[in-house]
Amino acid sequence: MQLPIFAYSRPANWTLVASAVIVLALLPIVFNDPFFILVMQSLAYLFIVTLGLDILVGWTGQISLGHAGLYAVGAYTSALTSTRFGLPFWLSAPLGVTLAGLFGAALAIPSLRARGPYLAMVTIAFGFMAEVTSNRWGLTGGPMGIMSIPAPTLPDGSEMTPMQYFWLIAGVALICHLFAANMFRGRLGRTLLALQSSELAAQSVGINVFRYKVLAFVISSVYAGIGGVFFAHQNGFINSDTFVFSLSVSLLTSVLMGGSGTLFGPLVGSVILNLIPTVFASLQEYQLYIYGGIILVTIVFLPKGIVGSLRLMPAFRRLRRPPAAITPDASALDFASASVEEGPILAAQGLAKSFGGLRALSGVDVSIKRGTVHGLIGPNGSGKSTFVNLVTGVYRSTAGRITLGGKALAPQGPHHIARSGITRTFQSIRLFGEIPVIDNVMVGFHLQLRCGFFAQLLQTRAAVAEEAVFRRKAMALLEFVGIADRAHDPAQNLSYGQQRLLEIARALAVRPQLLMLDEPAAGVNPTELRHLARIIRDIKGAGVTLLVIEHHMELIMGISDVISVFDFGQKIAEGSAAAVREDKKVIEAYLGVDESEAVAIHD
Amino acid sequence: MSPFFIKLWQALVSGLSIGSIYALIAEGYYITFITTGALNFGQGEFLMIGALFGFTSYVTLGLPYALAVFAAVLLTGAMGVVLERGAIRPVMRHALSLSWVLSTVAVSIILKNAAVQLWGPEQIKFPSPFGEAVVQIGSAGIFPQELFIIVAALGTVFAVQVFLRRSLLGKALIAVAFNRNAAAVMGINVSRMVVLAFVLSSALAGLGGILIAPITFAWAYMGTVPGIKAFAAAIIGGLENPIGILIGGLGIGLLEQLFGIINSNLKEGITFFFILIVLAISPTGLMGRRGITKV
Amino acid sequence: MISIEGLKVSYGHVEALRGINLEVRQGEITAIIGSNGAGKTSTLMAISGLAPITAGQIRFEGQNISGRPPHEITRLGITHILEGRQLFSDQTVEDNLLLGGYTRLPRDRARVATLMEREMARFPILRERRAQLAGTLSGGEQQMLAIARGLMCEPRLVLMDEPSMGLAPLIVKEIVSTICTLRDEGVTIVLVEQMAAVALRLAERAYVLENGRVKLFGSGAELARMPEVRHAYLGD
Repeated sequence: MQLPIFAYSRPANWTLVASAVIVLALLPIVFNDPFFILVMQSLAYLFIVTLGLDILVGWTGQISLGHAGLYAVGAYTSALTSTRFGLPFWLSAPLGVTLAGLFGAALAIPSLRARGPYLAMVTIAFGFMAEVTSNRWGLTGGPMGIMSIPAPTLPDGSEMTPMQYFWLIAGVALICHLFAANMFRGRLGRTLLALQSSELAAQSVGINVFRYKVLAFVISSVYAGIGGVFFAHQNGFINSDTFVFSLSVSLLTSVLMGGSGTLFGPLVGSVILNLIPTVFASLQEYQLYIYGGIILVTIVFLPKGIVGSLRLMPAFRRLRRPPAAITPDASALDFASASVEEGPILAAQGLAKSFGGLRALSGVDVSIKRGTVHGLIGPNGSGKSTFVNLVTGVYRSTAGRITLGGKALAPQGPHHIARSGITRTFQSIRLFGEIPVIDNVMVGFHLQLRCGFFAQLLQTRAAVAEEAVFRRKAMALLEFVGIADRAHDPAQNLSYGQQRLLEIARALAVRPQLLMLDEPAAGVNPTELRHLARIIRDIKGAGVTLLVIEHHMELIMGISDVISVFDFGQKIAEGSAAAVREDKKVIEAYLGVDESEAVAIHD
Repeated sequence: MSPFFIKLWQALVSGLSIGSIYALIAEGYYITFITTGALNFGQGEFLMIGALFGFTSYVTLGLPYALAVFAAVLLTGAMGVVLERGAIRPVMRHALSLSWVLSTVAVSIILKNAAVQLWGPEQIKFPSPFGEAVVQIGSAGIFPQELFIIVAALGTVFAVQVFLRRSLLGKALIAVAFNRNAAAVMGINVSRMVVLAFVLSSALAGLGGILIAPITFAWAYMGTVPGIKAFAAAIIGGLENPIGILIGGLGIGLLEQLFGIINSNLKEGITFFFILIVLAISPTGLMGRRGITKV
Repeated sequence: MISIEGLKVSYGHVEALRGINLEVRQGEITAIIGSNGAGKTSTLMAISGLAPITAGQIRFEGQNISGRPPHEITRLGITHILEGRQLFSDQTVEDNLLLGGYTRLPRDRARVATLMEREMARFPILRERRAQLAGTLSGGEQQMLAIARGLMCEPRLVLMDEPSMGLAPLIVKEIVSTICTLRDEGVTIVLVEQMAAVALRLAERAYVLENGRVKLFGSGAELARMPEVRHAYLGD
């Protein structure tokens, strides 16, 4: 998934928008055929629905096979309130959209912890419940449906003509598209893509995964509701035949075939899928073969969909303007809040963690002094990563307590821990691979960005300015770790060593008091190692406390003020580098075999 | 026996019989899911093919029922090979994990159309080999076909589990499901095992179709809903737990029939409402494996 | 026995091996050491067919085996005992061993039974626990099972990936002695280890990998004496 190419906030692209408006305005005038206008109306509102579905599928990575249900909520609400309560379209429509949004929020809840096929099932179940309800509930009229649904009225009291209705739908579709582009160009898009790549890494920089997934569901269902409302008032009649499982399937198909995670993919997909019956009308019998065949062939040969595959082509890549040079803002290097409190920044007492029968950590006491580099070493499986995971809230401890700055640290999710000023890097690198390097750091600024959802939506001057400010800070951080020259490449293209540095830059963006590095030197060469040591010293100099887990003896001995040694889930030694190096228990734990005995085995 | 109890008793039997079909198909989902992480969203259509092809064999060609069952299972099993080659293998290479959903849906659309062309769109009556007469047990009337379904379907479910746990091939399949790399270095041909998994799951669906056809009708659109309900059964039980799947299948079957006594409108919706509740409480199904990922 | 030339392995964009040359001589223990991410496991996986080879060749007894699927390579006589054991935890000890002998089943059922007896004699604890699920065994027992399972196909070459990982020193000694016994039985071994000291003491030949390339090679004893190696990997 990549961030959108077109940023409509840029004045240069307003010409594109203006052209689109003109084309859409002229379309029904030039092709003044009632059937054609009807088809155009349908394509327009289906675009809105599929765009909404794409928000869920492409950007958030949550599959939905129940969107027909949300569509139905919008349609029936508007239809019923306008026929039974005589509400004008201009009231019944927002009502329908709001209700669809609420259903979407409700649907988000079981979807939050369910993954993969379980999530698919939740959406399928919802879709079927909607299907059955529309079919059997007296209110909806079942297969007989609801009739005489009025078209929207104009200020002078007359009903809209089909042409005017098309303009209404197309206008709304254009706005929805622009909003989507704005949302996904900026913070929301970045956050959702980050969630998709690694929920854990996203949480470690303070992102509330729950909140964002619900938001994505709500936006998606609002769009579906808008589509449903337009559908209801299109022909004056709706019935339960429409809101069936196969509609959900064809909506998803449109999105995946067109290309998920793109802004035009859903349109391309909808157009193709809805035109197949028309184009191949003569081959009535074979229609479904063609339909199924086209889907199969597309998904096998163009896994990213049509638009998605086009974007990968070199010709399209040239459409991306090379990013303007960004002057770094060194104020970003002002990490730590100046605090002159006494006492350790973090203290763990009797900390233990078991996984079923496996004791990963049994009662360790570790105290980290403010402003120091605290090393943590031990063989694989000794509990070092478990310790970090407990502090950052990834796991819940089975015993013991942790205090941060003297106050007890309640067990809470990783994103809350980030708020408290603790963050970390990961042993197995967890970057947001598909987005550019600089955007990875931007995600790290999550907790510091002030502009809210609506400011982003409308791309207000404040929002645009804030983005620019933080981009400069991100650049500064990239310079600090030494990968500024790769700022605009996708993160996954970086070398192993550079990726590790990027993780550090992202962590620094959080402005942590305590930064925990989990094996930062794994797989790096000696030059990169010296560079890393220098960076760690610089971070310490800026006032951040560090906990470093490492196997690389030279590095850890060189940079640490204190070293704790773990083995089999317990702390077996602690002290200065020199002291730990001489410790007999440590030598045995690392070398594994007693020196004298080993010689006897092989000579 | 009061009328209510008679209805209850009949609902129980019907519930168990349709439930055992759900369990049969769900077992198919289980097998392909554990080996590849993918499943056939068109499984219901394989059920339909089993039913319709069974009809052709049993009624049109006049073969004995046992032979018709065998033929249906053989055909759907063979189609499983084609499915794996054409719709699963080419898309499993892709990083995008949703491709197999769409490719199997595409196959189901094609199959549905083929069925309409070959057998027409109307519902076809499939005569039961045990006769249409109702057997009286106590004062309740039971279709012998329903009893046969319970025995045959559940028997097959257990037989497959025995195969998976006791036979060498079954153990190899489970090994592939558990850890592909480790299985490969044992000398197990992983891609062949994957094909086997799909053959097995498709054959199970075909069997389910020819078993259930005398109770419901046989027609081109019969497969979608049972396919989804069997998926629900697998999900509720926990996709990786064979006992959970059995309970899920029987549970859904019973739930539907029992609620059907109260109100036939409720019958349809209750299954899906139940699923939402279960998944809200336990996101990996009632007995699913809760994974602990190493960080 | 194994000769590797210009081997490159990439997982997507990440280059794990950037062109290595390596030789394994029959009847010897060859060690591969290096820090995490250096490419040790990728080397073994390339030999056993589990990793995608983007360039270079691997020859086993003269035959080119690069690019062959893992189940074929196992049948040629190469076994890979994976990092982290990777047993079939939900199956019994006995079934794990049985699957280890998959290449000889179902034809040579008797031979497999004999082999199972042999392995259970080598590791008596496995006989005691034969009906238990593999996941319930202790770390050391699991490693023994992994080795026994790997030996069930009577390999001529054994690839061992970090057998000492997460094990107590006492258990590691047992594993080490098992490895020596195997070598005495004529089995060729390629040993990847994080605990460099252990590996270097055992090996006749050793390679030090760094960032996907061979940095040093020589006899185990030679390398163990080199100051760079002692500094980087022996904590000196």
